[in-house]
Amino acid sequence: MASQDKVSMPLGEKVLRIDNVVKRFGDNTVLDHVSFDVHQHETVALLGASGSGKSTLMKCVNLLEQVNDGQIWLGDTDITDPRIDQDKARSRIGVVFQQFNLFAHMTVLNNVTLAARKVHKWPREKAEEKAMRLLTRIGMQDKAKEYPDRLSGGQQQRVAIARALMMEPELLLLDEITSALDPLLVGEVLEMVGELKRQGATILMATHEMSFAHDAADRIVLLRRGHIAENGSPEEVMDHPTDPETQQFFAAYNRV
Amino acid sequence: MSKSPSYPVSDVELEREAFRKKEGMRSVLTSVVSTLVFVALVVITLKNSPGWPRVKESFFSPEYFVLAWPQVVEGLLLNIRVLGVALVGTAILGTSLALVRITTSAVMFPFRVVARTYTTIMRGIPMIVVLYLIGFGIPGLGLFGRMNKAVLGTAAVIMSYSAYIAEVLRAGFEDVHPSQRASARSLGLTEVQTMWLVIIPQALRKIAPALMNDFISMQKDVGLISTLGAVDAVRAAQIVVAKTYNFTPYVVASLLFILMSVPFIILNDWYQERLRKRERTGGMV
Ligand SMILES: Nc1ncnc2c1ncn2[C@@H]1O[C@H](COP(=O)(O)OP(=O)(O)OP(=O)(O)O)[C@@H](O)[C@H]1O
Ligand SMILES: [Mg+2]
Repeated sequence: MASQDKVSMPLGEKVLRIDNVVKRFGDNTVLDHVSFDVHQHETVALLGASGSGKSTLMKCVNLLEQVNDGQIWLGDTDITDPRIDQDKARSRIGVVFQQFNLFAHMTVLNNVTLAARKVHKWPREKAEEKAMRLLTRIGMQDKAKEYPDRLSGGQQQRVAIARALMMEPELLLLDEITSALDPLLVGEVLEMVGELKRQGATILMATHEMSFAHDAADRIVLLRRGHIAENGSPEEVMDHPTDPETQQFFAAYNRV
Repeated sequence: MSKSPSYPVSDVELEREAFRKKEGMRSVLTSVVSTLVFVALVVITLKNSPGWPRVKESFFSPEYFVLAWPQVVEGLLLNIRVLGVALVGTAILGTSLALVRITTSAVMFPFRVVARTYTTIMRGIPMIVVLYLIGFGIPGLGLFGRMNKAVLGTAAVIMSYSAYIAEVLRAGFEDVHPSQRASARSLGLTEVQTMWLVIIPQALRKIAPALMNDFISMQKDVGLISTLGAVDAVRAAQIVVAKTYNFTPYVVASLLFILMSVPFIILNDWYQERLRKRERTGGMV
C-alpha cells in the first residue's frame, strides 16, 4: 500500500527477513503476503488493531505456527525450511509473551537458567553465575530463590525478559508484554526494554503502548487486514500519516 | 512462615489478642465436652440394646481376633503387593491414555477415539463387574492356560483405575496455560523436554489431591480381588469366619485396611493444607 517501499535509514545487516509470509486459519487469511525486515540493533514496533495478526506473525517467526507460504530468514537461515533443526532456530530467538511466561513450579533462578542447562548443556554453576549477573543488572538478585507467584507482575515480566536474554539471542520478540499489567507496573518493564535497546538489542515488539512505540521504536510496522499498511519511522507513520485509515487508527488511540 | 519479630503492639491489639485466646479456649472446651457427650450416648445406646452381648461376642471377640490376626495379615501382604503393581500399572496406562487424549495431530485421531471410548466405558462400569469380566472372562478364553487370580485381579484394578486417572491427568494437562508450553518451546526445549520439565510437574501439582484420593480408594478396592478367589486379607478373613462362625476376622481385616490408608490420608490432608496456604499467600499473573 501507501508506504510499502519507504527507504529506511542506513542500518546494520538484516537479522530477520520476513518475505511474503502467508498464514491462514481455515479460510481466515490472517497474514496475506507480509514482508518486512528487522536490522541489527533496530527496534521495530508492530502495531495494529486487535486481531490484525501481530501475535500470529510473532508465532510464525518463533515457529510456534507454521506459515502457509513465504519464507522467514533468521540471519542466513531460512527457518521455514522443514529440514532445519527447529528447536535450535527457536533457541536463537528470545521471546516474552503477555503473561504466564515464567514456570510457576521453578524458582526465578531455575527459570532463567533452564535453557542454558537443558538445551545448551551448560554446567549449573556457569548458568547460575550468568543468571545472577543478569538478575543483578535488573535489581532482582534478591529474588533469585523466590517462586514467580511471589513477585509483582512487573517483576515477573522483567525476569521473563532476563530469561529471554540468557542465551544472547539474535532477536528479541516481545508480544504485548505490558498489556496484562497494572498501569503502575508498565513503566518499569518498558524502562527495561528501553535499556536493552540502548545496549544494542534487536527487538521486534507488538504493543498497544503507542507513546512508548513512538519514543522507543526506530520503525513502525502497521498491520491491517493481513497486509502491511505502513512501514516507516515513528514520525512518518504516527505523526504525519497520509493514509486516512492510518490517521483514524492513531486518532482512536489518542482519544482514549 | 517463621515467627514474626516482635513489633511494638498497641493496647487495643493486646486486648484483642487476649479476647481471641479466651474465645479459642472456650471453643476447645466446647468441642471436648460435646465429644464426650456423644461418645457416652453411643456407648449407652449400644450397651442397652438387647442384642449387644451377642454382637460383641461375634464381632469383637478377643480370642478370635488373636486367632485371625496372623492369617489376615498374611493376606494383607498380597493386597499390598497387588496395590504396588497396580499403582505402577495405573500410572503408566493412565498417563498414556491422557497423553493420547491431549494430542491434536490428525494422525492420532483413531487413537484419541479409542482412548476416549475406553475411559468413558471403564468409568461407567462398576469395579466389581470389571473384576468379574476380567477374572472369569479372560481365563474363559482358554488362551493362556491357568491364570493366577491375583494377576487377573490386578489387571482389572489397573484397567478400571487408569480410566479415572487418565481423566484427572488430562484435566491437569489442559489446566496448564498454553503460554507455558509456548515459553518452553521458545527457549529451545524439545517437545519431550517441555512435557517432562514444564507441563507434567505443574499438572501433577494441581491434581495431586485428586490423585491421592483415587489412590486411597484404590487401596481399599484391592480388597475386591477376593471375589475372584485370591487369598488376600478379605478372603483370609472369610476363610476363618467360615470355620468359626464368628465375624471378628472381618473387623481385623477392616482395621488393617484402615491402618494401611491412614498414612496416605494424613499425607493427603497435609498436602492440601499446604496448597491452601500457598494459594492464600500468592496471586498469579
Ligand atoms: N490458533 C488459531 N486458530 C484459529 N484462528 C486463530 C488462531 N490464532 C489466531 N487466530 C485468528 O487470527 C487472527 C489474528 O490473531 P492475533 O492473535 O494474531 O491478533 P493480534 O493482532 O495479536 O491481536 P491482539 O492485539 O488482540 O493480541 C484473529 O482473527 C484470530 O481469531
Ligand atoms: Mg496478540
